[in-house]
Amino acid sequence: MTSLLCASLGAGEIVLIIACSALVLGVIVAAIVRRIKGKPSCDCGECCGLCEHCNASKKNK
Amino acid sequence: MKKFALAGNPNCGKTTLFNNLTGSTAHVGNWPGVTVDKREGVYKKCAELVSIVDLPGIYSLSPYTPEEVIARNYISDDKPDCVINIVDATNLERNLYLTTQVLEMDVPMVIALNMMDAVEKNGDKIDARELEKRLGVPVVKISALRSQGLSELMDKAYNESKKQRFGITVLEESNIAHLIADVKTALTGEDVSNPLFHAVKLVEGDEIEVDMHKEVLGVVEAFKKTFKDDIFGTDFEALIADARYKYISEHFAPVFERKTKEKFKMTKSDKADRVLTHKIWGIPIFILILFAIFHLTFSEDFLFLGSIFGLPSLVDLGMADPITEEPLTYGAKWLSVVYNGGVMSPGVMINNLWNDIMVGELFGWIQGLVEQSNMSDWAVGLINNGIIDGVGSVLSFLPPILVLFLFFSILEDSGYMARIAFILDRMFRRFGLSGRAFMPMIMGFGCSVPAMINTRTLADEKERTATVRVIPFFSCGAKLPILTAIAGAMVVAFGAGNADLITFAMYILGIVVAILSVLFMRSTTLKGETPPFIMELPAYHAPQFKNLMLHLWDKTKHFIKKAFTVILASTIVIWLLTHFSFSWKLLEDEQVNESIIANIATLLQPLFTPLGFGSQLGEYGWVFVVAAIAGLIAKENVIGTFATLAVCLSAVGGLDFGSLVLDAADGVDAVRAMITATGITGPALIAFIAFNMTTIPCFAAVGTAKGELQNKKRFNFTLLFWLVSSYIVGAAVYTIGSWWWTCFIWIAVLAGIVTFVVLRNKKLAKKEALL
Repeated sequence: MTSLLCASLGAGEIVLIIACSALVLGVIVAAIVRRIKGKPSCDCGECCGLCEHCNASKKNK
Repeated sequence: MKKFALAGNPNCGKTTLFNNLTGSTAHVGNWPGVTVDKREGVYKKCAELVSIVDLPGIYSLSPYTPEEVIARNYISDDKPDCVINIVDATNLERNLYLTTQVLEMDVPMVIALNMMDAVEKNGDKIDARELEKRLGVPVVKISALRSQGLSELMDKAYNESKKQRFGITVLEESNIAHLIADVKTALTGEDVSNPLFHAVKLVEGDEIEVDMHKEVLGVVEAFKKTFKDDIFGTDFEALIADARYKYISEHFAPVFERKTKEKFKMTKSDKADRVLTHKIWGIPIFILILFAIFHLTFSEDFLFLGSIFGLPSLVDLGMADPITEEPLTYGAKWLSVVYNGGVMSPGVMINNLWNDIMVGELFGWIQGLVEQSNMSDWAVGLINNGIIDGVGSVLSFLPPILVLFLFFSILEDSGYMARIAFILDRMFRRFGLSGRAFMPMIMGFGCSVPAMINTRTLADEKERTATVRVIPFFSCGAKLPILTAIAGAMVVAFGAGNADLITFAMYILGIVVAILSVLFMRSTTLKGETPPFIMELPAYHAPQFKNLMLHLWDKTKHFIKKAFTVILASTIVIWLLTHFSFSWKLLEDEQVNESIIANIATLLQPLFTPLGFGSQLGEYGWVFVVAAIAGLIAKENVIGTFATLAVCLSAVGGLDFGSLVLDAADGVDAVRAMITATGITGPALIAFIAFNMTTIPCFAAVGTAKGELQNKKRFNFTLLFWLVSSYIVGAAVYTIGSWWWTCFIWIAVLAGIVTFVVLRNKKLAKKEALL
């Protein structure tokens, strides 16, 4: 078994780690932000922007 | 910026007009109730920018359902600069009923006579100038579908928005005119805006108005006591409705000149409905159409030609390897796209073309480049086996999803979907739901989120709750990869019939579970009267190419976006969890059983033993637990997880993969690897599908259910309901599939529950009667 730290970390590996971390964190942060805003992520053809608990709806109300 | 509101009856073409004016791509469907909330867009071709507000369809300004309240409140309280009242010209008299109510408001308005192309096609005529004179507001002939007359409509609306308009009523000639005038005077004294509109509604006894104007209620009631009609007595709502229709019939209807004098001539739609909505044949025809759709999308033996004529496979023709069944030449590979012992259905052809030729080649090429790079083994593994295989296995299902939704869109756009609600109403009524509840359910085949939002068209709260709870049982697009991959793998691994039959059967299972659940809920926790169902059946028309493409584009956009965000992130996390131990050591593929994820999932594995994918699957059985949990984030993750794990398992020594040449980016191969590694049985795989279909849906759907149910206790109960029902369904499928005689035990349990509920309800009814 090899420890990650012992593994050779070239430029490619570093870019990969940064890109993957950024993607995973980005998705989590986006999900949290959407949750705070009350927007579900669905394929409802933009009509989700009008759902009960989203910003657009609150603004209109 | 000026604000124009689009108001009109359901399915009169408001959203089509909205899309045309604003360049939006809002969902358009040929059934009443597609739009359940207002949406805004900008029209840029007037002298100044104009905000266009698309309102949900309403028949009257006395609302019953939540979305009707939205439309009424917007016109009455938000005071748009102009109301564009869209009137379905093919149903002039009925549509003008709403017009007579909007006329009573102090708001500029323009009438858009929509669907004039259909009127002219029928050879009928409408004298728009005469109608304009009689209504006292501009009338413009348009065809929203063909973008005809839209500039003239907007110019007139813009001019009207600069003027002030006071409400007028067609009830001037009725016997309650003086009563309305008195109430209006009282409201004007209270400085109420739109006094005429509110006066009419107060006389009608409209609940919202009664709550809103308590200060004048005493005066209104006193006025009303002085009045009694010979026919309607003191039923003011009926009296006013009758007066409106009489006025429309006498004054407005004559502007419509029919080609034929027969008022009730059978149209082509009526003739088609005699067959398609037949009380006996309606449901079998619907099931047949549904089966045809699945056959066209998933069958590898189109029209069963291969089975009927015993056509030879590529192996028989010597064009494929006898063990792996892989085509031997590039030409054979192309041939396998359309034929392999049977002609492929159009859906499978597109799928093969996409997976074998396009994506397969592209991903293979990228994976080759990564392998040739100087990156370390773990980085190559993460990119090739984690990211590319994980995302690729999900993307491989884009073609069948699009083909399936193309057919569903055709059904929706043609007007047949509304008929299904109608023919199912008789059946649904027995289970405590109206046919109206079917529309959000069928939307659930696309995505549970908009389907749950669409339940707002249901006036009864208990009916809404029951519908929200069963919507996830209507297998959404995200669950399709699970169904297709497992069905495909079962055909190869167990020789289990046709993939299209398995997929079709699973969809039917979802519908049956939904019906049984509704029946149970409406007999126990959500008891109540079944609301009446009135739905206007739209005329059949050929699906619009633009609409179909918009539906598919929405689906594609969302699917690809999800694949490269949530799914990609999930596959990275799953790869990390399968390649690290608790002591934070990097593991080789074959050491997957020591990984964090394997250790956690192994603890949970016994819970799934009654469902067939628990402890009985041995040391690698935890993969199904991981996939099911990953599916809670997004259902596509189930197959993505299999793909990531397939590569690890293929590296484990002692596992015989036989003829399988693993291409983990192909979801079917990934499932085959799981079957080989765990020895899972066919019934257990079906139980796994059933569990995933009926369990807690994805995060987005759970969030929407929480918002729509608007009650924490009810929401928590809903989560529990999903969990319990999926467990029961999974266990039933597994046990019956494995030991057929257990069906008697399940039937006995079901009969026991039914008897208990019936007896309990009788007892409660007796108690209530005594009270």
